[in-house]
Amino acid sequence: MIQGKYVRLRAVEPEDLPKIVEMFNNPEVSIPLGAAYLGMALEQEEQWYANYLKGEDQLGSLAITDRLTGEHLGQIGFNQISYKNRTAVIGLFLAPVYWGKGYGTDAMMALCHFGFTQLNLQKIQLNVFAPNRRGIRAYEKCGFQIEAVMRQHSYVDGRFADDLIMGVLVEEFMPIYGRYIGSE
Amino acid sequence: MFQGEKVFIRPMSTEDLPHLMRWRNNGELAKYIWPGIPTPTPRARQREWYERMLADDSRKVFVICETAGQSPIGIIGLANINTRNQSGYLFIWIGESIHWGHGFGSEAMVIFLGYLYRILNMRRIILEVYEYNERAIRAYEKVGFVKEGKVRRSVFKDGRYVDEYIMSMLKDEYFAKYPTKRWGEESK
Repeated sequence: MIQGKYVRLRAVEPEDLPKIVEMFNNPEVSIPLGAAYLGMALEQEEQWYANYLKGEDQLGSLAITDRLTGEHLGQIGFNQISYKNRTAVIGLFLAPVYWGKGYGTDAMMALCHFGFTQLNLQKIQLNVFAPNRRGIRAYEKCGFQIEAVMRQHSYVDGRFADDLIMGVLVEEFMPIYGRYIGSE
Repeated sequence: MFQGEKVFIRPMSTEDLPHLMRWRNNGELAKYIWPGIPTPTPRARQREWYERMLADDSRKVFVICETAGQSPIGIIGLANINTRNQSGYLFIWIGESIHWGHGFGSEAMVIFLGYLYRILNMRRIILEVYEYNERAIRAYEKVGFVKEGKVRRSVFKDGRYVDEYIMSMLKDEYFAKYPTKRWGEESK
């Protein structure tokens, strides 16, 4: 079980699918993800789930749940893991009612820690649109730095936005994680 | 998916198919849609159509629901999506005539066009409407569509040939008519 201070990350179960589809169909959730899943039908998510079960592992998509209540808050996962390069791309989303409460940072801390200490990664990367200041702030808290700006790379809510690549190295992350876990 | 005041738009599920069949074969709506003649269709074929639609990148269909009561009242979608030209053909049905004239369709169109222009980066949305469908033409004009031309005797319908208007709305026209704050923009 992958645990943070407030969240527990677990595999996706069939009963989670309607909630995930509901989140995808909320423009506030979907636009920062590139809106590819906006308009998704439950039937499509069920097809995705059939493939998810066939995967070697399920780290590509984990449910973020509240450690105390078990409530399903959002999703997080490693999109591409390269064991040769010891890198992975991380991504997450939360339903808007759970924003601003530290859940996203906590889930990032937990999965990055798992990646570095269990999967033997040496670097974790992510993509974020430049207008997503809330996301960038949370990623910076976890030690991510902007490594590249892909100018006007994505059409986002009516205009072209820069796409940032951020990354954190294991030696940068571990002290930040230690301070985070040590603090109350 | 997209919440308006009177209506919201959501993805279609297989449970909506019986509504679609009922509307399509209902005499009042059939007068205004293509092909419009009652077309008996077995459930297996309806399901097949639905699954093809989900897998097809050149068209999208969503369900319009009334906010009060949450019940489905119609569909809205885009067909013949051309990503290079950033264009597509809009279609909308409000299934039952008791739901006509309440502004449900107009509101659904404004919301849906926002999705097409702001999210999908469409540039030109086209629609075709029978010349005698005056109520719809008025609604489309109110939303912001303009008539581009009349296609003469283009469709055989109810025993005669009917003319059709081609109407369109461009992205710039939409943004000028419906300005809103974009995601991530600081409020000034």
